[in-house]
Amino acid sequence: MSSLNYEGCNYFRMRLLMSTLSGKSVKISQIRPEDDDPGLTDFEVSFIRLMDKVTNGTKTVITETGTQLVYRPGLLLGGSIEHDCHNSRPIGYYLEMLMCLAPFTKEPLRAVLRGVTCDKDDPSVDLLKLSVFPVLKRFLGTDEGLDLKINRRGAAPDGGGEVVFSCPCRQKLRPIKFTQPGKIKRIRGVAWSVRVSPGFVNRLVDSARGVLNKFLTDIYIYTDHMRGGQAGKSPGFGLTLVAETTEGSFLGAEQVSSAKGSGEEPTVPEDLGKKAALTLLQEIFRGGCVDSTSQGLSCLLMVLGQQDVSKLQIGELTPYSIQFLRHIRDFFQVVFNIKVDKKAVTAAGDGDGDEEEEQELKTGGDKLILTCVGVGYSNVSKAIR
Amino acid sequence: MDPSDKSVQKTHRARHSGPKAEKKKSKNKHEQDLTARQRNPKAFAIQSVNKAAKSFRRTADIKAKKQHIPKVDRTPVEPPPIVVAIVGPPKVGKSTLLKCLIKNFTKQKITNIQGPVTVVAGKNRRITFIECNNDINCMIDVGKIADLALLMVDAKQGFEMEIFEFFNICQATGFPRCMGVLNHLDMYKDGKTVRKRKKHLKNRFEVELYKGARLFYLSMLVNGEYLPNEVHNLCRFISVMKIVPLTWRASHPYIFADRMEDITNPEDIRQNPKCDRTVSLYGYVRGTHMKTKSMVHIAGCGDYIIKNMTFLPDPCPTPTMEKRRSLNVKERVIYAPMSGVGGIVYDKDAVYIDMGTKSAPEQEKPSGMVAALMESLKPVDEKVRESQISIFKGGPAISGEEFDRKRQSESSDDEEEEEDEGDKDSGMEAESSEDEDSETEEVEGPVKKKRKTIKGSDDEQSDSDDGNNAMDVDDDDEDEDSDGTSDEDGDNDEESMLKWKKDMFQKAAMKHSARVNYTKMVYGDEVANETDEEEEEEDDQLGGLFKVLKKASRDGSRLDKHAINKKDCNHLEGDKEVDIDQLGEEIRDTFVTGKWDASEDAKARLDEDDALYGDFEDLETGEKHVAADVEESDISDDDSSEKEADDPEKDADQGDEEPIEREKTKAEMSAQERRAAKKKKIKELFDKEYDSKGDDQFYESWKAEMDEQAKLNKSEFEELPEEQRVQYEGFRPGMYVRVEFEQMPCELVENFDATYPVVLGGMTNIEEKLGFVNVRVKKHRWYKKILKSRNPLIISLGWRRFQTIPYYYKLEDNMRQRMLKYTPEHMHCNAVFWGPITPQGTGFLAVESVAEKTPNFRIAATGVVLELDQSVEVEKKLKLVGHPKKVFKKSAFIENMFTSALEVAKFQGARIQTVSGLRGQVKKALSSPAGAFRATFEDKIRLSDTVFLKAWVKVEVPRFIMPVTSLLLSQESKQAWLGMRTVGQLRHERGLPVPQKGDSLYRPIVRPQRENKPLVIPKALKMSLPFKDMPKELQEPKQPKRVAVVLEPHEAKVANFMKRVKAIYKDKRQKEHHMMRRRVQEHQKKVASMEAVKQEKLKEAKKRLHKILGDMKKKKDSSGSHR
Repeated sequence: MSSLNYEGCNYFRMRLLMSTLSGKSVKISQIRPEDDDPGLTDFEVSFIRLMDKVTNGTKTVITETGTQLVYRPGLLLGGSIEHDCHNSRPIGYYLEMLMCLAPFTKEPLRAVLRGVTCDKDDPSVDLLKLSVFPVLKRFLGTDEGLDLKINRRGAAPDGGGEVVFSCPCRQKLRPIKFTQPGKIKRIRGVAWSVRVSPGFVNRLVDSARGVLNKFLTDIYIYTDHMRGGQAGKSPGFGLTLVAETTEGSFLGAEQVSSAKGSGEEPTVPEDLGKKAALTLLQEIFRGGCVDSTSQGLSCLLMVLGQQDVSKLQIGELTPYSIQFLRHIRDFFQVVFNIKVDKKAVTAAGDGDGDEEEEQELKTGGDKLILTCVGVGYSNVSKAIR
Repeated sequence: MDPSDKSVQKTHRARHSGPKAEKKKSKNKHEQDLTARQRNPKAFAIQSVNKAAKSFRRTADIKAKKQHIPKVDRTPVEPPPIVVAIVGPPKVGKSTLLKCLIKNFTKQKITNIQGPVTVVAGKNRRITFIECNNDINCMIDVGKIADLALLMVDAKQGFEMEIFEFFNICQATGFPRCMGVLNHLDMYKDGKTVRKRKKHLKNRFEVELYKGARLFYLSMLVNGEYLPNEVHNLCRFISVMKIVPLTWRASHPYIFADRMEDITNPEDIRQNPKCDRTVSLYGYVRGTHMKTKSMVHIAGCGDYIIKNMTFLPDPCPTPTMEKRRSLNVKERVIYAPMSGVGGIVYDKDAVYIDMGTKSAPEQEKPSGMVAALMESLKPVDEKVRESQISIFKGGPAISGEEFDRKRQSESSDDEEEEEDEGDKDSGMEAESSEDEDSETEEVEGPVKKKRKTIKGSDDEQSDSDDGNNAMDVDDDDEDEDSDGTSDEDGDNDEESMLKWKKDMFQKAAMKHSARVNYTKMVYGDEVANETDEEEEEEDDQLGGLFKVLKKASRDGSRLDKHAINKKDCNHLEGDKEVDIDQLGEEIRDTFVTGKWDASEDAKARLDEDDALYGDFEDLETGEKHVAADVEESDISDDDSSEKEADDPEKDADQGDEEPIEREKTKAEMSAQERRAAKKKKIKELFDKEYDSKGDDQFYESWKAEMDEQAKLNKSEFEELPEEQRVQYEGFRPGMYVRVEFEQMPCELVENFDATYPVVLGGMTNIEEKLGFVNVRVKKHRWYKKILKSRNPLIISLGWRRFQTIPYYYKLEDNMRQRMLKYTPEHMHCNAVFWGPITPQGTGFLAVESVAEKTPNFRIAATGVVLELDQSVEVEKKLKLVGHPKKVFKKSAFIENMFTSALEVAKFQGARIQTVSGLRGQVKKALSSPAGAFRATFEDKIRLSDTVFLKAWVKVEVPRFIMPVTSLLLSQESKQAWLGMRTVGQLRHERGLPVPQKGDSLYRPIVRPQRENKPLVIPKALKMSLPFKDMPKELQEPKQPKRVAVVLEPHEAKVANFMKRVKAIYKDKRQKEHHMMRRRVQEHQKKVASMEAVKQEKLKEAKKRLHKILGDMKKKKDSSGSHR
């Protein structure tokens, strides 16, 4: 069995994820060797625990200092699991990787995750639901059994939120051809708040609409103010926006208030709403058929399809997805063909040769077309009778 | 004319032939105008609903049976040669047939055939022939790769075991096409028996394969060859044969190697003949795309990672021609490197041409010094270095190295300087490379710039650059993507306000200038950079114990450290300062409210339609609209429905070119035509809506989707140059490749035998792993023995052949996997073993041994993979036995079942039962003895009962797997691979008896006689019983109490005397009694005689009396009568 060596704690979950999917063991050394608190942190350990729960026969060896890790993956198990995610990273940190694994489990996955539902560094559960689920649906074929239920919300430092993620498992994934993102027809969103004044959500909505109404009128932002037992342990609020196109691609963006006790200035809802709208516009500028959050996931699932050509148009590659592509090459020996989508850039205005209509469509940044051949991956965990 | 004439008149006879008749016939030609169904529809109407339903169902069934699940057609455009294997028992004529087939295809006579032979058979068909020997390993491997199997059968012998074995191998691994070839028919003398034999064998063959399976006949040998026309016929069948795609092969790449080269450094081999070899194998890629650097399994050798893979020009190309039908001599290429046939041999960087007969002259063995040099294991310079010289006698010996070192220390000053410079240089390099690296990682967002600008960190700037980098580090933590720009801007905060704007201009400029090479950005030459960095990190060690951490001596390395330990998140911070208006302008057209592309714009399409269907009449206003004057009508009339969407500005634009075209079309079309066109369009729409929405619409659309995917798969990378295409796709099937492996066992090269196929089977990622494989298995009904759990078994699964230890089990109704000691004789059961992870649904076959020579059927079992796991759930039953120590009413203390209170605690609440069937429960442990516990039962148990607890324990399946390395064995032991032996075999070999448990032996059963206690009826019950049922207590006579008396001597004397007196007295009495009895008897006799006399007298008297009485009566009577 072959093994791969890496250094440093960056892209930690990506390596563990790919290792689990490809069956190659991985050795990560030099994990924060010069820090005051060297070695693996709590959330990484929590992530390893989670991986251990969804798999069977996984062996993890961590050295005494915690600066080196050897991970030998087992087979994906799935089923019902419960996990208390460490509060230093939000649930999105764990859920993002769980979403990549979920289609390949032995039994349909139903994971109850507890912890911080939304924080600044990682996509919140709302964003994952709104923007990544449609992508996952394309690979699975249907969204039957695909669900993310937010039972409780928990804001940054202390958490206390709970989500239930369920996903069906498949023997094989479908290849996708998704190169026409279409035009944005509507914008939806969720404004949420916990342990703050209920008026905050409306202020968020108003300020975001103020920015977005210029572009589109079909905007509806749901407000979700949770109270009592559902509100977690810390105050916080945030806004997640998603733009849906005519072809069914979703571009999501979000902003979250700064956490209590983080030392940052307290967030004003109006500013946050405006900022969220701006982030969405930037995301639209980046464009593509999938947004920047789900670029990595869609690339990975393209590779894990059957031995067919998959094609996907995306916006500018994020550094994280670039690393995803590199890791895919390491683990699956698949190289993507990356081309700039010429059509989106040079399409002429109206087809009539008049002087003022000749300019090209204003569709934001460069669009790339990623093409790859799947590795013929099949779910070996699932049983046949 | 009279009536008589009339009667004679002939009737008219119409003409049936001749011109007149024909004329008439042509006049009223008979036409079958209506079918019976049309003429009489009622007769064909539904008579019975049930019948109609039945017939409908039947047609639907037939239709559904024809449908298969649509699959993406993955057959390559230029397929690899098909593999034709010739299989059969020994001495049946396989080699002769192969020679004849090759001769037929290539017109060449080849005598010594070894290994695969590839020939061109036709325009689009190449064939690789392989002869399969009778080693079961060989047959299995050939069964896995053959596209067509020619089964040679000796007509005299009939079907032999090998053929049946091959059928079963094929069945387990995926059935290729099979054709039978009947040989040795000339052994029969007369035609009738031949015919009978043929018919018989054909029937048997069809039973085994399918109805209509083809069986060829080779009637006789002429000059050691079969009849040319028979062979030719066979060849034609082979070359038009359609190959069935098989699931396993369609999803796994494989190479059937037709050439092997040992490319190890000869020097290494000379030093150590047993050293690991570097080997390159050649062959066509088959199945699916094969990736370099992936892992392959070489059947009979093991798993190896491909070190290097290159494609070579096809040694046996298919002739590219359009019209001609037959091949010319030049195109009839044969390629068989293992047999030394086929002229040109390609290598990675050279082409070798076989010059034929000329053999190299025998090299002379070198002698003397040359030979000595050749024999030495180390090169000369090494030897020189090691040799030591002492200049003075007794002085210290100095080696070459030491001498060098001393000299160096003398001139160290100069050198150090040089080294410093060298260091600097390398540092510089590192920086630039780091920059590249960080750039590749961090470049993102809307900002993009050319690599060139970053690379230009000159020597002069190096100082300032360092500073920049240091600041970069800080930046990185806060804001990842600002890094790219900050480098260029020189970290100017003032500028950052205008950053966005500036980028816009850059962006705009870039769109027309060169673009970023994204492929390079992602994959780049990152690997090279990484290795450089690693080299830089030199460890300074203090006394070899402590390591001095070079704390950021160079900024580059620090940056690197930070990069690898950065925060791991998929969150993208957008630019902080963004001008909404400008951004909004940039993305204006991504919304539905923006401008549309010409191809999808509704308005543009409407205009196109107008060209054809533009004119219509507004019925309300009575106005006529004509396409040519769209503008006018539009301006004049706003309520016209179709034009509402159009804006006048746009229509004005159209004025230039289109009207001309439109007029033309309009001029050509009459009103009728236009109407027809309109109608046609409407009809099409209607048809689309309602027609072809039958039952198979779903099926059809599915099929169409698959076809589309297949087309895309073929066309996507078609234009790319081969090198790039290989990078994206992998090596596609049909390519001739050279595959290089390192660290192969030397036995592979040394014991290479061309008659054994070398198959490189590719695996998908997860299949490299090992795990527990759950399979459904059935012992083959022709196999003599049943299989036992834990006995090693050789399994052929996927590409591999390996020995493992299976456990058989049965899935019970409650889903428990219950271990079986033996496989059932005629039923499926499940099995679990430690083996390679293989996709579910893959078939496998098992043999117990590949070494033994047996006339019996060798295949022990076949089956299919069901599930893969990393743990085993198989259980077997365990009975824990205990005995009651003390019995109360319904509870009892049980001992001997467990050994400690902890064990009891684990089983608290568990169900137990006695042999007699009383059920109970474990309650609580007792303090002593250890392991005893209290249990309750449904009734009182006996102290003599045995209590047992039924439990299930998991079986531990040993993690044993051993590849069958048949390729590595030497020629003589090739067929005698011996793996793990069974315990039985080992015992047999060593003459050990089977150990027996004393407990399990049978002994004579000794049962002690039971004594039953008397029946005791309680008093109260007895009292209430009726008298007749009441047990009668018979009073036993009371015995007088006797007292043993011990007499005094005097008393004893007296008593003795008295006793004697008594005895005498008793005797006397007895005598008297006897005498008395005698007297009485005598007296009785006397009395009796007296009595007899008396009776006699009495009798006499009576007699006399009666006589007198009689006389008197007589007298009386006579007197009376006289009266």
